Amino acid sequence: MSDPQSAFAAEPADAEVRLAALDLRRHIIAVAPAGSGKTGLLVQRMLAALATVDTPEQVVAMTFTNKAAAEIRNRVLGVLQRAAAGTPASDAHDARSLAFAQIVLQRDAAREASQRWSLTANPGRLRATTIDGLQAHIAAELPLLSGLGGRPRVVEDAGLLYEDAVLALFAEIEDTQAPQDLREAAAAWLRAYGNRADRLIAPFADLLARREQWQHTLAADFDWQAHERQVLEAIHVAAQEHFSDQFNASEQATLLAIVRAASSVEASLAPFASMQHWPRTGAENAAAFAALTWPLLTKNDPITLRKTSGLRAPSFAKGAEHTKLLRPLLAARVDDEALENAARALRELPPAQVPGELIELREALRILLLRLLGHLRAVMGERGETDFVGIAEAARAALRPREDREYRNDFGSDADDEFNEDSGSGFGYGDALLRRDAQLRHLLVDEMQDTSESQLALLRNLTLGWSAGDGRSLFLVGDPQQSIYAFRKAEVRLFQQLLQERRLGELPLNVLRLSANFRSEPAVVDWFNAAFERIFPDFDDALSGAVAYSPSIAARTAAADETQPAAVRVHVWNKDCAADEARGAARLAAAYAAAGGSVAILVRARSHVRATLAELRALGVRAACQDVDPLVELPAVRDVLALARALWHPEDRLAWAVLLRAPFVGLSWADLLRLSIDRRRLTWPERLMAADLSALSEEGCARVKTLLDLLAAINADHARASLPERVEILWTALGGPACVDATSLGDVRRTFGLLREHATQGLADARRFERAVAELYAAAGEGAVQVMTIHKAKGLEFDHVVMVGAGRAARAEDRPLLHLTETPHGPLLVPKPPRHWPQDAPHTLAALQLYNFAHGLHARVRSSEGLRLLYVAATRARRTLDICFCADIEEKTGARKPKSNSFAEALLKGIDRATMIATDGESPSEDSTMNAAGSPPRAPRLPIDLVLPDEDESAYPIYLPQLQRSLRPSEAVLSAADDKRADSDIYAQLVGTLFHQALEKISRDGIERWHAGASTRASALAAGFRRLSLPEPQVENAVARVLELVDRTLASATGRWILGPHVWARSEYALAGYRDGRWISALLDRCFETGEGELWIVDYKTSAQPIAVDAIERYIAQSAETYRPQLMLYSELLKSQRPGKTVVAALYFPEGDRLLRYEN
Amino acid sequence: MSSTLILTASDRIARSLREDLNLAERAAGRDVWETPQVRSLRQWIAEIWADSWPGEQLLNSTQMQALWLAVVERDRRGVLSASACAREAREAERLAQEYAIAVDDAPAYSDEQRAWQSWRRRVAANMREHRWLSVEHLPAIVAQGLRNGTITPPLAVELFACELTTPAEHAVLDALSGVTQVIAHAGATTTPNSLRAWRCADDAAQLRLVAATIRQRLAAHADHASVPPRIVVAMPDADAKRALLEDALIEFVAPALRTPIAGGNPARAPWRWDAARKLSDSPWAAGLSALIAIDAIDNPPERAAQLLLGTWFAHVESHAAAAAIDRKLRESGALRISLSKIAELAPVLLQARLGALAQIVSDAPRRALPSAWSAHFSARCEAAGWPSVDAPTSSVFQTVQELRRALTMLAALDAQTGAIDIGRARMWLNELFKRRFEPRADHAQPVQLLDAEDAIGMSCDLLIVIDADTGAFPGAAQATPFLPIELQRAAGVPQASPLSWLAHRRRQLAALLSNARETIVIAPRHDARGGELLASPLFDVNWEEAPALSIASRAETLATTGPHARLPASDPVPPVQASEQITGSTRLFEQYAQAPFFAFCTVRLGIEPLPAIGLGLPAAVQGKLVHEALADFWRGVDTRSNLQTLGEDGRTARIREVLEPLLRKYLPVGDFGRMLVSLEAARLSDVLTAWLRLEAARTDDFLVLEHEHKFKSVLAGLPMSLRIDRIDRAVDEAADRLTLIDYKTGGYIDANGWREEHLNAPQLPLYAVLLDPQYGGEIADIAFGHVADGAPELLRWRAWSTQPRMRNAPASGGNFASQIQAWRAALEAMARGFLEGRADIDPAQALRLRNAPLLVLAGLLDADDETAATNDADLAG
Repeated sequence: MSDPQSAFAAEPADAEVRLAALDLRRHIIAVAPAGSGKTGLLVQRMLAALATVDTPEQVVAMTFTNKAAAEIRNRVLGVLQRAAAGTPASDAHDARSLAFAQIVLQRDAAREASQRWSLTANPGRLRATTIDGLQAHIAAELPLLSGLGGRPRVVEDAGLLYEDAVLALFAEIEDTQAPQDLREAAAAWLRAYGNRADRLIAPFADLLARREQWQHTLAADFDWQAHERQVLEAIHVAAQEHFSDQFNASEQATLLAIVRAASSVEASLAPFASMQHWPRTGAENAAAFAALTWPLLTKNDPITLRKTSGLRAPSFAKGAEHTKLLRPLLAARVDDEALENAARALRELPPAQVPGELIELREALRILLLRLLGHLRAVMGERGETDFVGIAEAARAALRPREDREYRNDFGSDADDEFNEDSGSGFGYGDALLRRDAQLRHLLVDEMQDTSESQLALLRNLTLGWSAGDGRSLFLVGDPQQSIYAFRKAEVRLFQQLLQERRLGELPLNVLRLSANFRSEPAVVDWFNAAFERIFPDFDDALSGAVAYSPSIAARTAAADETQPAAVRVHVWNKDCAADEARGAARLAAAYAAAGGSVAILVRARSHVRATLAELRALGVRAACQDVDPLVELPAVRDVLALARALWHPEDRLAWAVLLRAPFVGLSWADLLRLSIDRRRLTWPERLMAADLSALSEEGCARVKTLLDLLAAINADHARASLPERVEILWTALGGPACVDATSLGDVRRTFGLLREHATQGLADARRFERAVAELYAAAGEGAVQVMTIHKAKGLEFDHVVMVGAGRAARAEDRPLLHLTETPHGPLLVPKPPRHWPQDAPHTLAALQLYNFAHGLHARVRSSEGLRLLYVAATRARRTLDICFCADIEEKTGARKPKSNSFAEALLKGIDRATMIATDGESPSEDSTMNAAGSPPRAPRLPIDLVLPDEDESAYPIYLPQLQRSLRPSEAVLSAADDKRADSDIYAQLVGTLFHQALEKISRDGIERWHAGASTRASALAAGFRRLSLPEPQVENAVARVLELVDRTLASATGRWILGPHVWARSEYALAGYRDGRWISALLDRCFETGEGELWIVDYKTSAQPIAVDAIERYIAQSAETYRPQLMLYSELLKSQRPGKTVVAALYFPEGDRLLRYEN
Repeated sequence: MSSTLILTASDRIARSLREDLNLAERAAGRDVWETPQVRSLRQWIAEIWADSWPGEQLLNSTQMQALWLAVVERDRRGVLSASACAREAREAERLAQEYAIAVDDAPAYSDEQRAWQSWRRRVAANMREHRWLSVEHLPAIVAQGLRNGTITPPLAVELFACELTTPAEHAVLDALSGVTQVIAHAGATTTPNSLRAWRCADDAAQLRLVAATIRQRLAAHADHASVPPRIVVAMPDADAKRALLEDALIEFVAPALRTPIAGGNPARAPWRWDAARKLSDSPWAAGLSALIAIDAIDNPPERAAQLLLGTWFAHVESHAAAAAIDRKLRESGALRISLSKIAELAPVLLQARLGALAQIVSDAPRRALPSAWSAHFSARCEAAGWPSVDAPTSSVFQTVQELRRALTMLAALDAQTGAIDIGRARMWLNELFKRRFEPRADHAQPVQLLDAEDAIGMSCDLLIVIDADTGAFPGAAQATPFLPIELQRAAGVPQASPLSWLAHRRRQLAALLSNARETIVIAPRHDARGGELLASPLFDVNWEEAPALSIASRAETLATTGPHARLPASDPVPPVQASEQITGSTRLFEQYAQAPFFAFCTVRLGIEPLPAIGLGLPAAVQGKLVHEALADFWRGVDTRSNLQTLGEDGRTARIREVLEPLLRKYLPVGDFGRMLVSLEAARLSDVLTAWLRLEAARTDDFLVLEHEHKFKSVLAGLPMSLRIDRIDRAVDEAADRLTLIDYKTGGYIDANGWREEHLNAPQLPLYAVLLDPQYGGEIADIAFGHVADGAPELLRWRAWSTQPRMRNAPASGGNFASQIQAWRAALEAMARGFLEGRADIDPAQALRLRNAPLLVLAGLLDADDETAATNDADLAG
């Protein structure tokens, strides 16, 4: 992405703020709305920081994705290179950047040559990294302090680790040795969920993923109940205070009077018949506050502020005093959303007391969670893997100040004294922290609104002990309006808290607010300001994650382009015209693409764009889809996966059916039926094998034959036995490539890659495989229109943005078994009341109320984030923004009524409805791929007469390697056929090897020296055997055997003759040659030339065990026969090597002291 | 003896040089010659040391790992991975030895350094005590031996590409040069006369470019008239690149590898990975691992599946039989599977092997020396018939031999580990399976693929360096945390500082590029996540846009001209034939109501998804237990008044009585675990008690006539076989009225499925329509009995009372007799549709049938993802 500021000659309106942001003497938190060039500012500050430090590693910039980190690094590097090249500045901002870069370069040039930074050659020294990356780096630097031990693989999807930990927990409870309290706790939770451990896997795994939020509550001294009381009390007080703030004193008095008066007609108000004073805040007064809401709110859903017109008997009799008092109060507060929300919040408050039964259940959960952490650690250790939370914990543990760390190690208490003697004592900063502290001078964090609690803790640790004027600086930049990663624990309240408190730990922060928008044209920025001012809430609210809107000032001047004037348009279709919406959106995108400029279609959810993609295809517009199409949903991929499953499991009847229907097999329904008559209970492979092919259609018969032939071939091919290989071979041979287009071929290739990665050992671990499959998306490819989810679009910008499906509601929130809710006062962990609890029991009702509160809060947080998602989507647009949605029309008013919890619902609060472009629906188009109504589904298939072309070798013929031995010299290649020792045991092989080595040594050093070294011989032999991995129990015998054989040899005159001095002699003599068109290599045990000029080749033959006397002759005869060809070959080789000599080949058997000479 | 020994930097260079020298001999016209003495420096040091027949034992890397692991574990620091810690600690020791860092007197500034020194002292003491050495110690010993004359040097030594040796190796060369003639060669051939640097879009484009280039270069030698050029492809991380590069190579260079060849004669790939695969990556290792992993009693279903479906049953028949066992196990829902149970389920074909295996596994000792474990594991292999290949190809044979060797190496760990339990034995075997192994091929492999560092010194005609971006060249280095950084810097450890690392990488690259006649360097522009990559400046060349490919692979050609598959005009389903012997059931109608296509697939084609491996108590078994328990309970109780007479205690006792045998039957403790079974017994007891309390409190008096009543009938020509959960007679009503009850044990019930226009719950209507009129009594009441946790409920629709909860009133207007007629008409229409071969599915309707597995057969999606991004992977950029 280019620097958005670079296109602007004039200084923006917030130029002074931007200058202030470069002041390294101050720690800064900058609020930077979309398009304000925050990354550019961060890059500039990084350059400023680099200009002041000794090594580039002292400046660290952090962000959230590798891509963004690379962008920061490359941008800094780019400025440095331009400065080095003397490139002139394009504007004031650029000039500042280049000036900083010049200082960096000048200071570097002043260093000794060996100390220069060499950033161009080594850009990795520019420390722009992800937070996860930094944490991993710290943890790797400190394997013990971090508790990791080594460098585990950090897995992005750690779901399987969590699941395995949960499964290990449930397996453990079957162990009678497991602690009783653990078994009881597990029993309680299993019982609560119908003994279905499988139903607990997902919620428990989810808790493990979010363990940074709760694990501190497991400490023995953590009083969960007290904490919970405190949180609930704080929630009550906050809501009561907010409600109270809605009224002035007079209004409060009126409301009290109303309650007193109404107590005679409303039973629930009876206890407050004499309430004279506004109640004090506190959970104990929850009922009183609830009573105060009675006159204000309707009783049933939807709970809203009462309207004066709705005040009717019997509760509000016309002449009743409370009715008379209430009317003017309500009249003055018509449509007062703040009051309505405040009153409703009181109604929805949780009980102040958690029922004992729920506390018991949670205590059981505490026990389970503690154990689960242990299992997770064990699973991670076993796999050598961890997750980002684990890395964050490790980094935090490594950087923890020393006194804290001393408490950390609950594993080392019984460690050896020797290990503990140096483990350090006393208090203060840990070495690691000090070391890191010394290295780190300037820390910059981009996208600060996306930090989680644990990441904030890391920042606190990194800046611990920084003091004013010490030359170090912190720069945080983010935009709460773009906080859309709550599910990743990046809660917007954390950023808001920093802004509010103006400090990070002990570090004071200066708050700066940028306002210039360099991205969008003025008309677009004006629209944002007008719309989002109304769409966003008026105030920040930490509990519900609400963020108020900060307007921007357009810094860009309008481009003079009459054909595509900058504008925001909202298009609406009728409720049941989704196809028209898709068509309309596709046409808009196509028109923009045709006119030039970048175009993006943005959606909230992947499924929202399917119809639009089909319309784009129909218009002939190629779309580059970024992670929009799950690979598993693509027909070509589905068929490949079915093929894999079918080959893996003959009993997988569904996978086989999909395979048989796949286009590269292509059986019709009728043929499938014919295969199944009388054989429905058989597996498909059995049906195919047993089929009477003549009963099939002619085409079906041919198709089945092809398949069966190929299956037979693949089954016979043991060299390629891995499942992925078999799948790929079969797919290719069946004509798979002819069934896909070029884009799908890439997707299929990725699927094969996935199979190779996860299924080399089969698909037994289906969970792992399915998970990996689900994570893959079709390749983006190239296209004139980019299509992606809004989350993916964050950080990007386009000339034209088309939002589709804005009328579709966000997915309804599931009601999970557990809610782990973060509040500004701490976490609440609320289980769903188990089904087997009596429904009307007070504890069930109280538990349900608490659960509903937690669930409501969760929904509100998600809803607040939904607004920000809309903001992110809209602010990607530089020139035009088109928002498309379908909505119902209210019968009474004729007004559009979009689905609740949709973007459109939010949008209509912010725009003038009259400006909407309403379009009538068109008649639906026929989709050619749709099946005719009432007909069975059809599937494409390769024509039976299609002749697939062979490899085109015209340009470059394919080189088929020849057998090596005819081409180049090579090392021996073993096969079962020609390795005689293949099935003999290792003992025999090694005895032979060591005997040969001994004889070689004797022949080299002489027999005398061998005898002289007798005392150490046995130990040396034993060491040799052990070195060659002979099992320890066999070593002694093996040594004895070799010594025995050597002794026999040396005791023999023949043996001594063989090993003794000769005119010419070699041991373990290696020869190479080329004979009869083949390369040969030979290793001759012993060869020598006698005084008579005979050349002898002697091959030693040993047996691992002594051979019975009566068997020796047979053994020798057999060996002689076996080794004859080899010895004859050796003879010929030596004859060629030393021509003119007579060569004698022989086998020597120390066992019987026999030298068997081959006669030529 | 050849007078000159040639020493090289690595084994692969030695191999390559040997080959060149042999070719030169042949080119000189000789047909026999002494094999050139070429060794890697490291290999020679080990050989020359072993030649002296030392009494010390040289430990292999696994044995060293065992020593280090023992001391790290003894430290009990509770690190996440003691193995990884031991590996890194050992690596620090290697570094210290290679760079001659004087660690004995080294300061220790951090916990890591203090701990490491302590560990090292223990390891060293242990090694001294047992006279053990590691390979890192040898250079110092050999250098010393050469200096003091205890080691005899070769007559002359030539060094080949040994300029990047470690200080320890350098010391050996120094000592060598003091006692013999040493000639140093920088490398093989020439300065490259052609160096090109290309940029391409991404990794996929890069790999296709490499593959196409290789095909093009080899094409000239396709006729075998000349020796093909030696091509080296060097990359920063061969392991990471292997799968994708191999894919591209197969597609362009050796498409025959994707062709099935009967008889298993393998196609020949002209490339060789010098960075070998892990032994564990072989499919033969999978079978062996499954055998080693299996337990006598307590195996999770995945482990049993791995054993059954792993390649050790490599024969088709065995595979099918094993798959059938796996299916039975899945259907049972068992969570823990014993080997004896697997053997029991096995057909004759597999019974002997599985039985023998079960016996051996059950005889496993609790603790034993690794050599005993090695013998035990070998016995498992023998019993199971692993590897079960009749005529293995060379590569299979070599792989199996290497796996056997790993078993042998396990046996060599006795002295380092002492007696261990089976978990540890498995761990060490798995560690040994991580060893690298590439079977030797018997054909020419002119293309070598390897890590860039390993390619240094390899002479070749064409060198292709891929991934030449700054992330790899120079890349980043991290110094070991176990040694003080100052010491590392002083010793010249390249990783100790960015400057020394850069210098080191420059030297490496210079050496890499110096041995090729022609070099192509490629750098993609973007990584897999779209992040921009910078071309490495270390190559000092002008980067150009990569040339467009002049060829396409066959797959690409087909895909580009395709897809060739066409949608047929129609694909009719014939009407049901008598020979199909179809009998209808409630399930048929349930499925038909969802989509006729489902009923067709399930009933006529017998297509069902493979049951998923169970992770908890199967809901179906829980339901079955409730059904059968109630059936047993009512036998002998019969009426509401009897039920009331029984009283709460009596009912509880009777429930216990009926549950006991059922639990034994459906939830054997061995399959599900004692605790889970007892919990389920308690839950069932609660559920049944609550249900029977509700029954006892009913105001209408009833007589239970039947439980699990089976009967046959015919509906519109379709033979039916049905089973009603329960039939009651209302005894206090004037008329003889029957109540048909269907028990539901799931989470939620309603009566909407009884509406004839959407008969999604056709069971009770079917019973009401088809129950033999001779049975006696008027069917005037149908009911779901919701027997589940929470509030039990009898959701009924009686002729004499109000309608049950329904979204809309049924068309019959509530008249029961006419309702039965309406049901009959609807059911008959369904039966006729089925018999006529109706098998359609409404795509719009299908969207509501989320996760119905059969949708995949209709080419429809089975999920509607409303969440834009729900996990980190979605967002990682």
